[in-house]
Amino acid sequence: MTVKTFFIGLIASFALPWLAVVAVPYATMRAVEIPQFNEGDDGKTGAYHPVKSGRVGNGTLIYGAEGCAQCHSQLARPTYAGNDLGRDGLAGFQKDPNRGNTMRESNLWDYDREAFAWIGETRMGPDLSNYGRRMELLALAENEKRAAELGVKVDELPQSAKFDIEDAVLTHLYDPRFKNEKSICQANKGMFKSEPVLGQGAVNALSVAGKNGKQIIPKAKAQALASYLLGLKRDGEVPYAMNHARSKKKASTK
Amino acid sequence: MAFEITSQQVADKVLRAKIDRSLRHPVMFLFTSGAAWLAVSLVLGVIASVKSHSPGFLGDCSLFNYGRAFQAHMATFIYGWGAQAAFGAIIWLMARLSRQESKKSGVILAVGHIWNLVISVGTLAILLGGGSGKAWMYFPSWVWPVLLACYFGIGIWSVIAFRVRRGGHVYIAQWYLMAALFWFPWIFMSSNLFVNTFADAGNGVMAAGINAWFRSAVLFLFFTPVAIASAYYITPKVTGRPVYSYKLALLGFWSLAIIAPWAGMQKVMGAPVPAFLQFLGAGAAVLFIIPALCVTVNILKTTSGKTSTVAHSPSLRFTIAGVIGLLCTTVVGGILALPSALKFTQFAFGGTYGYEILALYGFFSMTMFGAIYFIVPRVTNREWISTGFIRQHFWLSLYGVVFITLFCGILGAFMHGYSLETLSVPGESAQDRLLAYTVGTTVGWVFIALANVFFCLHLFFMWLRLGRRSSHPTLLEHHEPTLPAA
Repeated sequence: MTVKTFFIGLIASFALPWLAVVAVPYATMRAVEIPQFNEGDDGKTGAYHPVKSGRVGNGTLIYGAEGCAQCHSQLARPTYAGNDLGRDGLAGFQKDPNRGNTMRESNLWDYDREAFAWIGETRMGPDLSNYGRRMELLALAENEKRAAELGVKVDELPQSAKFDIEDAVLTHLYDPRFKNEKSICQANKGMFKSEPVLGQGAVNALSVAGKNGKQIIPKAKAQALASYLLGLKRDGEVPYAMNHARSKKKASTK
Repeated sequence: MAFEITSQQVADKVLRAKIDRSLRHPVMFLFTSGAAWLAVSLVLGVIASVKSHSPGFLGDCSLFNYGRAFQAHMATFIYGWGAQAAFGAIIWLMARLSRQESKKSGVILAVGHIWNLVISVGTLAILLGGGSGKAWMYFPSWVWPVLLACYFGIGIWSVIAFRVRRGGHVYIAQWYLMAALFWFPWIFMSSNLFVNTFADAGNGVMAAGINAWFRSAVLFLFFTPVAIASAYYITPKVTGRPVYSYKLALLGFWSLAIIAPWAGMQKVMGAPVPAFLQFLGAGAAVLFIIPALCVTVNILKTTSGKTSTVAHSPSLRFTIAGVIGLLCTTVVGGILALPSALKFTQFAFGGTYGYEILALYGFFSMTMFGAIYFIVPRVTNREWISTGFIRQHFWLSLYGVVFITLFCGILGAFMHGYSLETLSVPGESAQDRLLAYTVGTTVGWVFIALANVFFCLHLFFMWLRLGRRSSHPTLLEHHEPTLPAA
């Protein structure tokens, strides 16, 4: 083998897979055609654009920097790759109170506006694809319970008695073991400051108190991360052509 | 029996001594600073591991939160220890094989300092909450161009040494070294450009896919060829035999070059990236057994019948352990990449981590320890001080890495994965199953950390030129007491 043959072989054997696996897929995936709803299949027209809420831009960076992806995945895998569609709450809900069965696998647009999709390394903690939706349903159930205890309708529940969804997430970020002693999730106390209570206390202080009765106030990082986490709702309706559920039906046959 | 020493042999010996002397400072700097980073990485690894089962460890100091400590642990392992050990081995092996002394050792030394400075700042940034969270690209995004520039500052001289090599013959080890020198910048630059620099222009899911490819490519196309080159150099040198089969070496090299670049994207199996990429990755990871088998058979056949040499020579003992580690890595990698197994292990604790530690420590680091035990006495002109230190380093490393990777990592991955995948098992119970394996991993890291206390101290003494002044190499011989005749 001459040195020339060696280098030609080296370049050829690497360039081909690099083009096929990295460069060309990168270029083509930059501009994937947006799927459209159509009248016959979906009963409506227009582009598929899942609604994103929360501070995705900086939330995703904090999520990465704190190493959340080390223990939490954000992927509902198709059945060829795993049983995620069988886990209620992971890939959506079998009995969503408003929309029925919303279980579906993750798609490309679920990660919109994120420069890096946090597919995740392990599931030492729960999958977070639908964390925001899970918290919403938890709030719904909790409010119903509290309304029943007070003997009022849910709509009539005073604001102070309502389940504070953001406070719940921030408390978890401050110390995951407040609510769940067995949790191995990291406490992010550096994202909060504790101050003595002056007057009525800060409006954004957590409902739990710190050492010596001090109030705990989230810093910007904690708020951005909580907002990002609450925005994780990947169970929206997808066009018929992208829906892989066995039970799917065309709008025209419903 | 009298040996006749020819003038050619004298000239060879003088040339080798000149090469060793010319590279003394850069090689020793890269090895000792690499070993220091290994120590840092191991401490961080123990902290991260303890945090994975006892999150209250070290109080609430955010600096050592699991997410940050883990990133810093892997980043320092890969770029602090792994890359620097590889650089040290590359420049010395290439100079020896090309029979060219280094004329730019000052430049390499200076660039080596910059590399260490950047790794220090990057690691601090990770611990302060500025990491990226992307596997094997944990540092803030400004770090990679500086590392790449440093790589050129260190690696280019080995390419030049190859170009102006004396004798014309190209050794097997040189193929691997040249290939590693060629693959690394391509992989490192293109992946970082796509994932970090042009992050907003690309697709986030594809960025995650390229990141998965990147870690596989750095492992298979940089760390692996450097370790194989070292094995192909040290084994014939220590046993005094030529490599068993040239054809097998050829097959091993080209099968690695052809198969390895396709692997990696099996890690994102089920993600919305084209399915062919995921299955191509899985297929390549399984097929990687071909180059690994070629190398293992070739090296082991070269040592056949020389078991006492393997046992007595520290460099050969570590190298052979590393080569067996390569075989384990590829067999485990192949099993993990099978789509039917990947269902369980893709997100299981240890499915990826256990495998990566097996590859990085059980294979690459063991081989590099072998290289260091061979090279350091030559460049310092001193012999290793203590056989006890070397023995402790070997056995504690071996027990530690086998325990972490095969028991806690891989077995743990299947146990954890089973509870994640089996719908009749509640999701919460997965964590209960995990506990034994995370605690076990901590124990394993403590073993490895202890092993490296011996290694780092020993290397540090050698750096200070406190080694034995002797013409006899340090051998791990057992001296059996001679019993008086009955």
